[in-house]
Amino acid sequence: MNDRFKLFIGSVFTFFLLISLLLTVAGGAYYIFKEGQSIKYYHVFQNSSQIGLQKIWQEALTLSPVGIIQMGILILIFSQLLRVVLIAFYYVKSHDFKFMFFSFFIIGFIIFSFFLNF
Amino acid sequence: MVVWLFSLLVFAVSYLAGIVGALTGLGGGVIIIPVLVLLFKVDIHYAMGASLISIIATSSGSSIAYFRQGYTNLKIGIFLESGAVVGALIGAYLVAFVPTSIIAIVLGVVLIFSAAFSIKKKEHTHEEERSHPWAISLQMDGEYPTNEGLKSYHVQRVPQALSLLTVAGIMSGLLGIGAGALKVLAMDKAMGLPYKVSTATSNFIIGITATVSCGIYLARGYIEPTIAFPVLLGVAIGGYSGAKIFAKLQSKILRLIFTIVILIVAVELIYKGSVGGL
Repeated sequence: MNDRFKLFIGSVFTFFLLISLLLTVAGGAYYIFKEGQSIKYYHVFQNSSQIGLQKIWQEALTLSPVGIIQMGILILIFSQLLRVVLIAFYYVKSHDFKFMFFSFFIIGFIIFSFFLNF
Repeated sequence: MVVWLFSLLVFAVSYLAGIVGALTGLGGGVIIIPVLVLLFKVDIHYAMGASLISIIATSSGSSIAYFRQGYTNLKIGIFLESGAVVGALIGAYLVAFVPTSIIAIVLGVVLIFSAAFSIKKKEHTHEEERSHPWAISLQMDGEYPTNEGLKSYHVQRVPQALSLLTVAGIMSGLLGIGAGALKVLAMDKAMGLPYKVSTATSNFIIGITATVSCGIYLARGYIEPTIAFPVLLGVAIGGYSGAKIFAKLQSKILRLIFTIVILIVAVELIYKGSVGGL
């Protein structure tokens, strides 16, 4: 992989990681500001209901502390998909069809796993 | 414990977990799960969700640096990951049928033997070895930075490594772990890669495998944002710090850290398998 593309991919990774961290910091700080003195009990698993991607988006758009954190988490998760997409793009550009196939295979599986569950 | 103190302590532990995860290629979950469950009395399901986020965060925080430093072998990572994602999906399906406690105990025992084997192993010299035909065909051989400049290496036993990564994926889907231990061992032992290349490449792909299981974890409500946020922040920053230390550490020290950590993972898996905590 040439240095220019390596730098580009590295910059994109950094950008999405920073966005994710900024949202998580913002949501986390807001959450501690609002609920910092309260006590939460996590020793019993309570959230057994199925939640959907759409619900997470809706909650994030309300700008609630938990919604903002969830948005940060979602961006972190999708940055992994983007990582493989960029690599696939690189292999397409460099006409490396074997690794283009492997990259698209992984992308397909990630997307399939999300559609399977939401 | 009040929320702010809980978040602060979890952040501090996650920072350390991120450093260890980045140095060993295991992800931060190795430390996160037992600490959350045993110290903070968090339910195992929430701990597993936080662990998965920590794996992605460690991968994100450290792999950028390793990628730029030239330790990551992208072709090996992508090739092996195509086996791991298949395994992760199979594991996620099997979770309803296979008793995970049994698998955890078996994996724990395998890791103890691997740890014992790992500590005895000497570094490969690489120059005298020939590459596996698949490695030649896929142009997997590479080079990595050392104190003496770039050093080339050959890639061995590709099919065995692919099989091991598929098993690692199944374990990841079944147990909610990154299975970084198996990935590092597959690259280190089967492929005969330099230790730093194995660790860096494992760090690059553990986040992708974890993403496959994330859909299931989100849908089941295992990822609790109020627990995950200090974990995500601590591990991502710790992972980045770990990557900065990585280049300065000798391989034998990294191998020792790895061995100690996989012993902890093994004991943790056997314990959780025995008490039915999975």
